[in-house]
Amino acid sequence: MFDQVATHLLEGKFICESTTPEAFRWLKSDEAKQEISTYLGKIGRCLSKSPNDQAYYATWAHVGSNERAEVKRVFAGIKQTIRPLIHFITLSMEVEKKDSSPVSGDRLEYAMLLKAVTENAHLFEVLREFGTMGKEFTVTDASAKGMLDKVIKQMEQWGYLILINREQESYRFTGKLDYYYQVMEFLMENEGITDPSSQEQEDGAEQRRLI
Amino acid sequence: MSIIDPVATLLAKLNTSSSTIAAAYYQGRIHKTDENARDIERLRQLRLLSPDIRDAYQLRASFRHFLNAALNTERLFSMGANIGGYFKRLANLVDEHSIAFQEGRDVDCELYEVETREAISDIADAIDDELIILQAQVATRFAAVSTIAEKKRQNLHYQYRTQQLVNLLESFHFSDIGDQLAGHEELALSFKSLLAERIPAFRESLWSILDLLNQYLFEFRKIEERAKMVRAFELHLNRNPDWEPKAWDEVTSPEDWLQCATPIQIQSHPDVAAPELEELLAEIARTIPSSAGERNKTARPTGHIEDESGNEEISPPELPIRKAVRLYFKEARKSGNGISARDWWAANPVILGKVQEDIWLLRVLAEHDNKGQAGKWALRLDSKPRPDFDGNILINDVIVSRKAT
Repeated sequence: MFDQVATHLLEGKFICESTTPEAFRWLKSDEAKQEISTYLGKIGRCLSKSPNDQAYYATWAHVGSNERAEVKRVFAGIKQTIRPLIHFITLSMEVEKKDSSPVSGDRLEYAMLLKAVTENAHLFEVLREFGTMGKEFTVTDASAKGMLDKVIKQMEQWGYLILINREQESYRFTGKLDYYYQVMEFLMENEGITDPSSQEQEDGAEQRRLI
Repeated sequence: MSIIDPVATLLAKLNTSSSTIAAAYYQGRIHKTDENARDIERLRQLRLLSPDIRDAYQLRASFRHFLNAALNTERLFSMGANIGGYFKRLANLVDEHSIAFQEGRDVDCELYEVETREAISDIADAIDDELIILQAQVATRFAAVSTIAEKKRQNLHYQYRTQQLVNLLESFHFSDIGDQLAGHEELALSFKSLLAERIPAFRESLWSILDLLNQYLFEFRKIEERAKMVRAFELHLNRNPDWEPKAWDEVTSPEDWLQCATPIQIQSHPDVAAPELEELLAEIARTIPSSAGERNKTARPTGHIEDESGNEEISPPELPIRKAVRLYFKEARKSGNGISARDWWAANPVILGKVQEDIWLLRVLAEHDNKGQAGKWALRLDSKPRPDFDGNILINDVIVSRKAT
């Protein structure tokens, strides 16, 4: 299992329960972590995990001038994906009528998504908005199916979704989503993005007090 | 004379009304119909049904609780047994039993002993049932409800109930009861084996359930927070379409999530010098052509064309009507006076088969239209105008004859 895990990590992949369950379970043990960390340490890398232990990935042991270019490349990728991904997460929450955001391991049924965006004009409009989010989402076929296929394919390519059943067209969210939530949380905390609902509650309380 | 057993009689009566009971249980209420009227009356007499609104009936609470427990039905915010009440009753019974014993009231003593034994069983069963319900709820993470807010409320409800039970088990003075029952072997044994010895295990299970519920509550809160964060972030992006994060890649110490190592394209090659790979490499080598891109240049032997054709041309059989047309025109071309098509049709049924007379006439006319110019025949119509003078003519017959030179 060591060679599989090491290869995946060196190739820049995220190891999680959805994508590589055996490797992920193996990596959960302290001995395996130690073994992999030692190996990665010899080539200037280290083993990192997402905040809720849902994915493992390789990071630089030290960021010097040589690694700066890669840091910039990673950040450019985040900037490119942040808007479509949050849009996709909220779309799937609306389709499934859930008050919780998806996490690693949650299933996503393509048929249900397609039915929802086909039958609900609002959801179709939400889907159409992907067209304004970059060339990755440009489609020649402007039907709901054409657009949804493009979005799903892109999410799969970015590593946030994995196809688990080709016949039923069932997907699963991957552990990389946990990494994404970490990025989002950081940006909210450090860029002064607040939850408007809590702000509105505070405003309401202030108004009541004044009255 | 047989002894009437009231329990067996009651169960037999319940058995005869089982479908009505099941309907009332699953539907929540049942309306009186001709079919179930007798059952409903019987169940009312047994105090198992009580009136509901709009002329309906429902199962009495005690009976419904019994079915819920027996069928392990998941209820939302299930109420649970009044275990505190059972404990209080047990303490009262033990006290009264002691007094009756001291006063030498043997009959009362016997009665209190029976009731005390039942009270001990009631407590043990109630805690057992409670544990089953709680464990089921915890194992399914409140699967009966879908939203996180509902799950959180369910979680809080069961957390409160579990905590109360834990407090009860920890505060109740079991040793006092044990001391009071010490002189009564039967009761002391029941108390010890059914309750006192099981209390640590009950308490342990309840603590582990409570730990899980606390953990779930923490997770539910976290999930709820995350969902809020997603909504807030989405709203922020919608309100600020041009928003871009600051240059976090240029800070002195970039965040961990920015430090993803450059992916490496890994390609591996076999060590051809390794003796253990020899067999495998030889196997692969055998499947590879001796030189890449080699083409088979074997020339096809020169062919020759045979002078004599060995194949005989087979033509399809001639259709009967086609044959009839051919023969008719052949015969008519030789006739100076001409041959009536209708007469020929009547005279040659074998050749024409099932071809009808009108079809035959139309076919003869069509043949003339197609080949009349080139054909060596003349065609004459036996016709008359239609009575209403609409320009059409009625053709009675067609006569084909030799063409005048």
